[in-house]
Amino acid sequence: MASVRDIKRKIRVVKNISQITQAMKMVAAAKLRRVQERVQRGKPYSQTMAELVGTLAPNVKEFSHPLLAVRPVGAVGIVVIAADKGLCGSYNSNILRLAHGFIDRKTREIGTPTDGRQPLRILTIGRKATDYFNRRDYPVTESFLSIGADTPYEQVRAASNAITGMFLTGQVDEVYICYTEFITTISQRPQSIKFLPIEPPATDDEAPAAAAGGASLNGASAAGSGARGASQEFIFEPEAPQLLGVLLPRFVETRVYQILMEAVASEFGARMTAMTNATKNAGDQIEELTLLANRTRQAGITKELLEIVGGAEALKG
Amino acid sequence: MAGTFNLQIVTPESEVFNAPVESVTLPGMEARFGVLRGHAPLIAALEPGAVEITDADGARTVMAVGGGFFQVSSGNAMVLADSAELSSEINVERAAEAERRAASRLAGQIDEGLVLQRERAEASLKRARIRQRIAGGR
Repeated sequence: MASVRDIKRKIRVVKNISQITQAMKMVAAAKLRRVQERVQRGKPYSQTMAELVGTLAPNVKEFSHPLLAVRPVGAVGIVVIAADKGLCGSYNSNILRLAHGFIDRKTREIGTPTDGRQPLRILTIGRKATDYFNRRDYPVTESFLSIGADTPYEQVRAASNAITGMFLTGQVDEVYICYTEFITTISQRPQSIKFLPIEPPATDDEAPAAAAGGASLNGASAAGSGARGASQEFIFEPEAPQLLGVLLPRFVETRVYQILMEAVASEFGARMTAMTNATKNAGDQIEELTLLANRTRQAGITKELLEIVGGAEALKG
Repeated sequence: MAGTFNLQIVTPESEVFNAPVESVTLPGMEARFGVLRGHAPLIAALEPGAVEITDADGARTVMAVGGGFFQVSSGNAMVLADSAELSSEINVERAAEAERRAASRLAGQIDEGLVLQRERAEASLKRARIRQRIAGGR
């Protein structure tokens, strides 16, 4: 039977915890806002980038680029993005469970490569992902820590270089990324996507039917069709194929950046939700404990009174 | 004068410049080129180098860009830069530090023949040198 003092102490503990969770919730909310602002600021760049690829692709008929190379799959690279810290609800466990299942499935699909390459390269971003796979003796090839709301772009570029590097050097034939898609503040979805090789963009809707065979990146549009498909005649300098060649690596980089920022936003969203719940639960618990404390105190008083009365009765008799 | 057109310079992280200008000179991959109002639609790749802007009052601004792309169409010009800094904002010490780092990385790797890393080191060496030159120039 807990004494009033024990219960009071417990109330104090819960109060302290709720203050911490409240603070963490506010920090997460502020950081989430910062990430969103940052993504917003980067929008003109990524949009124009996508536009450029869209304008260029129809103008290039025969095109091959290392980033588009489709090879028979003997080894895959898998990038797992999780958080550095916990206390964000099921954010980490969801993405890690998905990644774990995905990796095991890929391992079974590939089997043992004949050319002696390592069949699986895992690249982790975030301490939780790194620890998770290290603990389970998975081959973590490279890991990046503390990518958050304020990570400078150069650091993102380094991660992007590591991801594309293992593909370009032929260590792996495909690269997948497991990350958490940000839907709303309270809803995030873990998913795995095929990242490399880049799938040729879909046929441009505005391309005239004349360019039979489609105007996709590798599509065989009529030779020398120039910029007929585009609304404007663009001059390209250097020629469209070379231009696309320098554009693609950057395009990939902005994709990595977007994915990372989305994962970070998801983390803060998840933490905010988790901490809101924690604060609410702490409040509920404080209420219950206060009630219990009052009841215990009352019970104590009643017991004392009974003892006094009982004692007095005994003396009288 | 030929009049002004709108120039926007954006990096993956932010918009660095957005104002009407009279002319702009850019470090094209094949050659430096200038753009005035009414330029034909163009898409060009840029090298790391200086972007020189002359605004409506004739005042000049120089920016260091770390390579990227330039697009002009229907009176709007847009620079997509990997990085962009005003000449007055360049941190010369950091650029010098970056130059040293890139140079030592290059020196250490020649025999290993890691083409990819080599290219990156060369690119960052070039960027660092250009930053310093632009900062020192004016």
